[in-house]
Amino acid sequence: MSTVSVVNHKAALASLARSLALPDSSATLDPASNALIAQSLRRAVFIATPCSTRNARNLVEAALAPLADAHEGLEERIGRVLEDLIATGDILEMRRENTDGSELVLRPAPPSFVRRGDGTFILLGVAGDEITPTVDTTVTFRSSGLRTIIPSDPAACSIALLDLGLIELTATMWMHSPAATTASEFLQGWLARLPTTIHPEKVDELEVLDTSTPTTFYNGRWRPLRDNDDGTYLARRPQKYGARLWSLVEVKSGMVHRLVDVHSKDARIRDCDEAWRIQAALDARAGAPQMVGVLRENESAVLSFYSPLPAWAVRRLTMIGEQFKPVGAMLGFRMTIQNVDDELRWLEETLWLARNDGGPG
Amino acid sequence: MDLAGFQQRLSDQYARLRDLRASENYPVYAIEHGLTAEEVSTALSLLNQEFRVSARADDKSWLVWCAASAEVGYRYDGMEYWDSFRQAVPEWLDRNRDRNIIREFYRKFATMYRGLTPTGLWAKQFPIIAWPITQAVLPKYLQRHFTSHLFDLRHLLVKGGELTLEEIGDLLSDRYVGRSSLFEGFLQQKPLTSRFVMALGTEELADAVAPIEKPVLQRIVADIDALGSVGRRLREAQRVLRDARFVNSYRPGFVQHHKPQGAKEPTSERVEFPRLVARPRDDETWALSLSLPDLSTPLKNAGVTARDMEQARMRFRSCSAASGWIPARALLAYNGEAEESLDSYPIETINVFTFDRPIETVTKVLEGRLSFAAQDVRLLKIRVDGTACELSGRYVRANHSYVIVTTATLPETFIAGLGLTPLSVKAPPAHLWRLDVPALLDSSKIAALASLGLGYRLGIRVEPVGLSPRWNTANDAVTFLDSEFPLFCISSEVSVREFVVRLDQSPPLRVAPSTSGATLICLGALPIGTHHLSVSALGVANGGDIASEILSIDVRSATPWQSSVGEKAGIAMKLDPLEAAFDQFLDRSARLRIIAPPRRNLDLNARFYGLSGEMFREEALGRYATPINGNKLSEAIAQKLGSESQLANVERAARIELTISLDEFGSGCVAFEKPVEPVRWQRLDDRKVRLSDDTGEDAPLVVEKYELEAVDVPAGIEYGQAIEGFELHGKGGLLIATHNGRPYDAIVTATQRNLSTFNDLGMPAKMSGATLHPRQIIKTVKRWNAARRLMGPMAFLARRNAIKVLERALCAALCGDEWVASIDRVMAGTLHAGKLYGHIWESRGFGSGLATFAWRYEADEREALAEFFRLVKVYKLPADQTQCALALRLAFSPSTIRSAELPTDETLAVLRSEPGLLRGAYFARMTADLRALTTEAA
Repeated sequence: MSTVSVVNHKAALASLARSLALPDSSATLDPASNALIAQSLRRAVFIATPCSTRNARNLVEAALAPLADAHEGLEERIGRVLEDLIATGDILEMRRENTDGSELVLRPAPPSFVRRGDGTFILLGVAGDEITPTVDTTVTFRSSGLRTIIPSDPAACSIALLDLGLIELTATMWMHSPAATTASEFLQGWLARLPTTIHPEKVDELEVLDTSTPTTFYNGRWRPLRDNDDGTYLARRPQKYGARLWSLVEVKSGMVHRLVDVHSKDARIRDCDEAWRIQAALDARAGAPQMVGVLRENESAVLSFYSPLPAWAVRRLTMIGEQFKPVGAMLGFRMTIQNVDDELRWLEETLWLARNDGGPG
Repeated sequence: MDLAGFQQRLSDQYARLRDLRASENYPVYAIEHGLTAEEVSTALSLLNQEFRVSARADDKSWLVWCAASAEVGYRYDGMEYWDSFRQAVPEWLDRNRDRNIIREFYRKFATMYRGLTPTGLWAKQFPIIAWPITQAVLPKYLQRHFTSHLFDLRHLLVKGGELTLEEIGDLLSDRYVGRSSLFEGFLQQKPLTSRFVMALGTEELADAVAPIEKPVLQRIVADIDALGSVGRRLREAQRVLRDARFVNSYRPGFVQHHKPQGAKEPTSERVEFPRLVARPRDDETWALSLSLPDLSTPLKNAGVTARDMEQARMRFRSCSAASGWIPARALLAYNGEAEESLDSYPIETINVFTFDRPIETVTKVLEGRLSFAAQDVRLLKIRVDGTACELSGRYVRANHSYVIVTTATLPETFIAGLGLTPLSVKAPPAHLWRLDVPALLDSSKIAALASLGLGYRLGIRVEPVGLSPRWNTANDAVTFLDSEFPLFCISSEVSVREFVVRLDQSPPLRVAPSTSGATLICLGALPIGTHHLSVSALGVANGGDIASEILSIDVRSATPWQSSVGEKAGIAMKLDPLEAAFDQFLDRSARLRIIAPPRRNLDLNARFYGLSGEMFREEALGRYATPINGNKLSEAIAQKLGSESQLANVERAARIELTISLDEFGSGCVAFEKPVEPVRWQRLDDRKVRLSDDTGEDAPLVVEKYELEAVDVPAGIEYGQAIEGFELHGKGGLLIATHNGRPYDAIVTATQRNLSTFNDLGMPAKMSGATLHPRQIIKTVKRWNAARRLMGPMAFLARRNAIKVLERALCAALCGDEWVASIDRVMAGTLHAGKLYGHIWESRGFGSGLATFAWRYEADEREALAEFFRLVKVYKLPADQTQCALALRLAFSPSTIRSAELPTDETLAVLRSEPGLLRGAYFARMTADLRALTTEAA
């Protein structure tokens, strides 16, 4: 028989964690752990789908804010965790059907798994009311929000998961990384897409990412277009409905001469992923490539990033490392030391990042 | 051992089991005979010899017959029990009286040894074979179905604490969402299924009386084990079931302990009705829909099944005119989560569904739940997710936002005074206004609200926190799972001394308002059912009561994710109309619709499953780039599946699935299930068919056929010949066997192995040449149209052509041969339609008016009738609206005329006395056909 009880924040979070089938250790809104927020987002998106990013954030914020000791930063954290869930493929971002295609909505991915090289599995998707599918092996809820399982017999575990109805995503299919190329080749491809005719115009509320600013503070690099601006910029501008559009613009004396909206030819690559890669190429071309901080400690190493990474890069690093939020950087991955050089080489070839040995800062 | 020896041994065995189980009230099953496989084989051989000699099953060996027929029941493939029986006992004559003797033996077995008597609708439909199948405990052909179902429900069976056998049986039966009619029938044997689950969970307990003999259980488990992954699922289910606590509620003297309140699924004692929901399409435009309450539960509780709605169709009343009729059985799919979009706002009280024929059992049960009452003003509250849902109460509260829906626009001064923001909506004549209520409202605004019939209230707020709420828009309740711990934040807009919290009938809990932030309460895990959380308070100002806030909470168990995640990921395949049968799909009267992200490639497959649930064939139907045109895709698939190369797969399959899959998005599926009916037609080879009859009736069924060479004239078939099998004449035709007034029909076509002329490719249908009364033609059209099973190549074409010639004959009978010839010429393009105007009515304007209207009778009968009647009045034809309606129906859809409403001789005489009306109706039909041809060509 149920009994009504008055509870404090701690007890309420403990009840919430149990409701979400999370271990007691995840019953916290402490910034060090995103497991509770991630699981709440999975549940909320399943209930409200198809819903906008804003709605998903609002639903979870409204539910969690009364349980938080300090509301400061909660909304931003929820947004960041949601971005991570989209990047890893727990939640799918897609165009709403029966519209002009500009409105993006969120949908829960079906329960699926990816097998990592070390025999562990990444669990993805939302198993309806259960959220995380009930499996024989213990599910580890990482502080990043990711769910993994470490089976004693990976082959048997794989069969059991398939039997349950989960979908196996091969690493190649899941990561879907683009082919390596040089920054100038990649950029050339995009510059060639700019219209051949020039129509100078002022574009309302256009913001550009200033390549001349330090690459270590991403948010601070965005600014409105100035009258004396010249060059090629990554830009964003509002649209009537939905998120702001990404575009590549050629600017002379503060006027937009040519503009192309950023949409990848590959439907699986999001506009933002393509745009971030364009900016990485612009930075590399300007001689100030984006940095990756590298900190080696005995058996492990930490890579820190100062600009957002495309989803395909996040997935690749998730395959071998653990994501976390480092101090002074946008996101980080902790991994075993023997993987580091391969990954750095790959980051140099696909995103043209430069190493900063010695960690963040 | 001879038969007498077997009889004695079985008598001893069954008596031992009966006595052993008496204290637990467990029944005995014939399959628990205790014989080895060799002994069973010997017994069958002896029975065969006995039958050869006496030409009947002898009473002296009746228990051996019971055991043997249960063995056949265990092994047979689920399709033709008596065929399998004849294989086991080759001398078996399979006359009705022979079958009845077996039933009598089982009845005796039930009486003497407490054998289980089959129950439920399935047992009524299959009154004889239900016995040996039930006595086999879990026949092989049901093992896959049962294991999958048990696997899906395994956690539900153990997590609710102790479960009585009755509850297990109910759970297994109620939770089945598949559409295998055989398995559904099996789940109705609740005393059997529950005891089998109990036996699986208690297999390792040595000291308890087993509900099923261990060797029988081990045999079943071993057979399931041999099914690969299905075996793994059973072992996993068994592992979980070992934690279950079973209570034998069938035991003599069992007293039901007090169960927590609401032990059943949320049913609705509260009044539920369609509610208005508004959703923002963007910042300015909103869309309206009706959230429909749970219709399925009250129908199921009242014992209404899909069969009761079989012939009826329905459609959503305020739908777009393009939406068509769907089978009325789709009502069973409305589980309280469905919404229907509105493209017009009802200003009168309406029933949300229109039915093409009255179904009293349904309308009586759903009375109120289908009625959307007229209101000038509706109040909808905007929730966190942006959705606005209609409130039962008519008052607004501080710091909340609402949508007000009116049927007329409001004065400018009023809008400005109340601070309303107009919202755009495409559902005339609805007007929407957004109202953001500030912390305090002045008296003028309160008065303005009152003029709309709305109040303003300050008081207690109870908000779900922690878990984002699942609001049920149909009943304004919040839904939790029985594994969740609902948390609420309580607060008040006025100062209070203390809150008084009460859940259902529990003692009130007095709570002092928190001095540091929100006051939080946790309800703990709630039992399944409907609960009410009431929060009242004593005010600081006067110590008086503040009106309480009551929140309805529905608690349900988790839905297995395997059945709930489909479509959520954004990839879906849907059938239009819903619930259409496979034959309708082949007939092109049902279409597929695909939802998938653009610029991707979908894989499409057809999977064919046998009665046992085993997939016996998978056909790749191609890779398609998205977006996909549903009509073109449907045509391509129907062609592939209707081809001769797929004939064998289609006819063998009990279930056909069309699936789409797309990497990380998973898959979508449309499944067609072919129900196994007590009377059914079977193709034996390219030209031969036979009738299977499991009704157990002594009197033979009436059997007749309509051949394609004479689609209007029935010919009788002798029952014995139908059962034995007979050759199709020509290209085949319509076969009908009638049992208790219900026709069991099929359109069967012969396979043409050697094509000699081009005509062999077609499926021409002809009239016999006999003179028929129009009423007779209509009846025959109805028969061809109602035939559900299509068997053989191009059977859909056979039906289409038969209906075409019959409708043409009806037109000739009503309007004359000359008129039909003229219509033919227009359709062939050799005569301009305008030339017919003068032949319709004295005023050519009538014909011209008919020609310019876009007739969509099937999609919107009301609209078609309104226009037709308008033209009739304008051009002064001597006809009333009833006559117009009949004329249109005769021309457009004679098969939908109900038997009770067939036109009398007098009615027909009046219609034919002035042919303008009928010709006008047929002209309208011709116009619609021409338009369809043009569209198709485009």
